[in-house]
Amino acid sequence: MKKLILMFLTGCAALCAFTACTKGDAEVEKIERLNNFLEINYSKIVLTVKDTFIEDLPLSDVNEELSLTSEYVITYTDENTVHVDYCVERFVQIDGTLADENLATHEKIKGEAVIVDGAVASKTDDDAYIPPQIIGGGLDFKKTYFENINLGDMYFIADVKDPDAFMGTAITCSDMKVETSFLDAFYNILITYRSESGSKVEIRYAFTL
Amino acid sequence: MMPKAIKKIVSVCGAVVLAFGVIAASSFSPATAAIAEAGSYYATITSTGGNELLGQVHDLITTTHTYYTSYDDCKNPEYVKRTDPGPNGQLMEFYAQAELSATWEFAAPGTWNREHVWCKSLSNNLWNKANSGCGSDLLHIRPTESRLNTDRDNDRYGNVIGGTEIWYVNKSGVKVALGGYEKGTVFEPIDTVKGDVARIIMYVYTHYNTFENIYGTTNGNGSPNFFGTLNFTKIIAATSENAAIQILLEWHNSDPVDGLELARNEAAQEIQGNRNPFVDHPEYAEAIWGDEPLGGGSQSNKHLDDFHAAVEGIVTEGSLALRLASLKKAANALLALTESEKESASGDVATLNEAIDNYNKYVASLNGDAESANKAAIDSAGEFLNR
Repeated sequence: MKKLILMFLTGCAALCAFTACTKGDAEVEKIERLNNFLEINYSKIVLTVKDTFIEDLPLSDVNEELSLTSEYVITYTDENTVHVDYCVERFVQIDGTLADENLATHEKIKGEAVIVDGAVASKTDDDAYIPPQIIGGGLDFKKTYFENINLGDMYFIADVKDPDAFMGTAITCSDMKVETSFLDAFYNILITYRSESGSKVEIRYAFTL
Repeated sequence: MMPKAIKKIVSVCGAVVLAFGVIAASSFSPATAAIAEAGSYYATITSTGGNELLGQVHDLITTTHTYYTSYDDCKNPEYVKRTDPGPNGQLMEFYAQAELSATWEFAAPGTWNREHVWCKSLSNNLWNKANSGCGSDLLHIRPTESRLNTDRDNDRYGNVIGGTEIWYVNKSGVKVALGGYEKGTVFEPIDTVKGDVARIIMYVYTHYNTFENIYGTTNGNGSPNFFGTLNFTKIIAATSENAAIQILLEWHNSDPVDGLELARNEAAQEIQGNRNPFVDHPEYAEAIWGDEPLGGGSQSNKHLDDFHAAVEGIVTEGSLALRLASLKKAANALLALTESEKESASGDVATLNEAIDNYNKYVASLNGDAESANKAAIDSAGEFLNR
């Protein structure tokens, strides 16, 4: 009898382990399937980066936010050519002409870049960052990069424990999280984190098929 | 002792003179009754000079400006006969000070049209579109003969030597009255109009600079689009604000307030609610921009005091907009100092420069943070950019 009970319990344990394994494998597969969505030929991707510097005003209960929002609209003119229209926002520094009636705190730098076969063929001459060579890398969805995963048929939400690997680029940050919605392709991806200085960064991709 | 009959004649003549004096041209003295009645309008003015007085006057004329007239209102003969009354019931042409029919004939030569004393094109776009706000203020827009208006065009005002005479010419092509002198892009009104021009410019500057620029606390109920930044050098041909102010004060003092301007103030208050304070209180001009505070004394140190106060008020914490506004206020106060005053305030000048330097360093660090985020985002889009 004891032997039978022992065999039964062992069998149950094995079954549980197998089920968990299978379920875990399915989750790995579902997450890594998101990488397939990165391969889809979208007609347009809008990449928005918002950096928010939260300040405490002295003698006040109100936190005032300062933020900079930049946008990159990525479109595809042919198989090898990528067009990027960008609008980069930054704070204005004072050059001594304080009496300038038009002096405001923010300014926007607009421009465009054309990328052919991964190399920048032309770019409006300004300070916006578009690397001369696009050396690949980029987002990578792998289960081992995440924790506290919440995965559904049309959404994926998780904490990112390996930001460098997930983003495909070295990044100094904390509390990175990712949220994405999809069906047969991405609708959007939202990545948030705290920068080294403590500001809140939001990187948002919006996809159009 | 004067006989009763003669006393009566004298008193009647006196009344006629007084009544006529209110509406005739610039040759008679101001009607003190009008000023006395307007006295309660200025009850909120407590300062004796400088930027504080400027701010109080701005608040007064903006909060009492209850009805913003339209550009069509400015061509209404019934309005213009009240704001610019001619001696025979028509209107007084502004630059030539000669009567013109008030009938609107769509600006045909020899008739009148609407003159922006402070040109639209020199208004920093504040009243460039749809003539709103200042572009249709009855205390600003003046009736001028059409050709004279065209000849003045968008010249700045100033003193010219050897300029071309600009005339009011009637429908028959006959020169009626001299309207001013033009040389290059500078227009000099005739002597009896210089003060009128100066006081209108002071009114526009004081009213339509936004309250943050003008040491006030409010713009009243006017649309925010009506207010912005105006500098005297936009409309006065001078190389600095101080030099422009000197021209304005010189014109203001050389051509005193006349009955026409007082009548205009009365009409304007009835129609739109406010008055030109530099007409009712010409002493405000020197108190604000000159060296004579109200009540006497000298304010040669007022500009320095204002600068010291502005530097003390520099904000180094809080929102960027707040910090920038405080730096701009101090920088504008610095502009009003003479070179010797700047030397005597060298410590505060250094403080201002240091504050500007710290502001720049702060925003540079924020920009750097954002640049890092943008770089990370673009790099993470690698596969989308590498097709």
